[in-house]
Amino acid sequence: MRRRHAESLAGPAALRASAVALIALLTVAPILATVLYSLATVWRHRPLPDGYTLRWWWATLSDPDFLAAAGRSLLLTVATVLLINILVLPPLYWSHVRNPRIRPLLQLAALIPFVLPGIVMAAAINRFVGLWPLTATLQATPLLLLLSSIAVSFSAYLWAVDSAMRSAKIATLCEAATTMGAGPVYILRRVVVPNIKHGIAIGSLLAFASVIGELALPRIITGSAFETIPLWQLREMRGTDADPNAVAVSSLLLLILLFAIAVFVIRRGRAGVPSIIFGVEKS
Amino acid sequence: MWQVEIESVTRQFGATLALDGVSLGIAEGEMVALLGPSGCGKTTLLRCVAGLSRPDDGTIRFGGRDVTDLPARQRDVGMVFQSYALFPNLTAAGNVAFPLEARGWPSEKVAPRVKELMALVGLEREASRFPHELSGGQQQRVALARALAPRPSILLLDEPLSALDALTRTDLRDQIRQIQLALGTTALYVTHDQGEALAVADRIGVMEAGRVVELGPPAEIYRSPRSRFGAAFLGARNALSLTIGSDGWVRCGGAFALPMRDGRPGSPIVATFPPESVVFDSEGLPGRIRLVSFRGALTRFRVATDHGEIDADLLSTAAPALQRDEAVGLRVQAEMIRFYAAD
Repeated sequence: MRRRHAESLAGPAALRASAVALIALLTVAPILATVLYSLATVWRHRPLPDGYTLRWWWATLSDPDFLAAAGRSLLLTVATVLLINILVLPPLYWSHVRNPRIRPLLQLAALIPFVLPGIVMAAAINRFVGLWPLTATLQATPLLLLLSSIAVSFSAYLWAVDSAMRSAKIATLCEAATTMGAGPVYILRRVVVPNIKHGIAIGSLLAFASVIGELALPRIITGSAFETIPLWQLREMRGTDADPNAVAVSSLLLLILLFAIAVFVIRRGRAGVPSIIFGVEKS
Repeated sequence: MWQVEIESVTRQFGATLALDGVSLGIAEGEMVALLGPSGCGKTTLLRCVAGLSRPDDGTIRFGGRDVTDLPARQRDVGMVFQSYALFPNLTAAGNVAFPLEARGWPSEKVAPRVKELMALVGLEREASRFPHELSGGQQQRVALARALAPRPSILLLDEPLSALDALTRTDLRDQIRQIQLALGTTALYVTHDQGEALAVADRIGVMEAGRVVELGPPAEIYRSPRSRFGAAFLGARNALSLTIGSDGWVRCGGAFALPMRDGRPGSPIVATFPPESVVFDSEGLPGRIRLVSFRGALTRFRVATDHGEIDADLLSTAAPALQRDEAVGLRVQAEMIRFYAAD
């Protein structure tokens, strides 16, 4: 009986192992290929490069254009994440605690970036601000790029924080705190933020990742006037002096940065992350 | 003077009238239980008293002071929620300290008060644990300590035992009552469990469709419910549809015969009586046992008669050894019977 049970489990176990191996291969293979490419002297028609060098890494890290683009990308991304926190958190909190009717509106707005491709949104934003003389002054400015980045990337933040608020039953906690004599700022500081901080961290990370890798918005809105890493990569891939190895290096640097932030966020809130990502509510 | 005075409070949600001109007074140190089925308006009334919901009409006074428009945080109430609503980021002691810190108590007074409350609910050793490390009963005791910490003028309890298992529920119910009596706290207790309401309250208000249809001490409204709804909700009473005889008497076989002063001969009437008012008597209303259900101290017999099924609760120690399908006779203690007009 036990053997039969074990046999019946062997099939699904093998299937699970195969599925995990396939997913791991699909995840790791592109990263491994990029790493090899960033270290390759020459890579011709063989499974592995002809030789290895750190030349591309050194060249990229000492390229003033790359460093300037990285600085702009980081500035844009950090500013976007900060502003998303300032602009999205209060209405979301309000929708949970006081006025649930605005929540569907927020959620509807958060669906737009999923439905519209970035390039369409970028073109639409550009045309929209050009309609009036006052807003036309924003055209091709980093400020418009910043505002557009917020519009495109706030949805990931909203879903993560919304889920964290639901999971923590923020509305009930706030009511409890109110009956205890606590004011709104005190409640936000002592009850709301500490109980959704993992959701804020995950949402910020998702917004960060989507902005730092965004190509369509900076390309259409500012072009070379505000060159970010994706624009720099695009330039490096074009022309007669194309440098794909440098692009590989810059991609890996971005990956390392995002990985480091993700590890930090996950280690800080190990218990909270799965419930936030998968929307699991605490019983 | 009432410590809490609710006067003609009305609250509407869209087309639903949740509270329909409710009036109720709670004396100082008294515990009133609001009892009723889901959707009867009891929690809405509690929320109006807490300041979490604003009445559309009517007045709420605490100690004679009108608090109808006062924000919840300025009302000086302590509230215990059905879902505990403990702050997951704070320890048990941190939760109890929260209302004191929020009200600006000096830190040297907070610690001894927290210690005192943790001792009161018997959780001194769990003070440094987080809510997820506590059982449901322990969490609710922390919630009770937290609600009582700032010595609120009114304690509000919103179905505080609903999420607990039966044994913990009974223990905590008695503990809540003991603490409330010891501290002399004025309390409003919302529940849908009649046993809970009967056990903890000085007075019970039975609510139906946004109105208080019954209000009085537990024993009084249990024995003499004024409304048929109250009678049905308070004690799983037997209800028999009968007719007033031409001589003005209501008869139910050999179970009982009572004169009706009001009511026309021939008109239908409903007689209700609790199961413990039924006794076996071979001269009484004949019937046949359909179910014998041992319930610890009591044994319930369900008997099929010509007038419908009748439940009889007898002390298990004194219950006869009757089996299913055995023929019996029933008699009802006349003083326990209440009559209501038929629908």
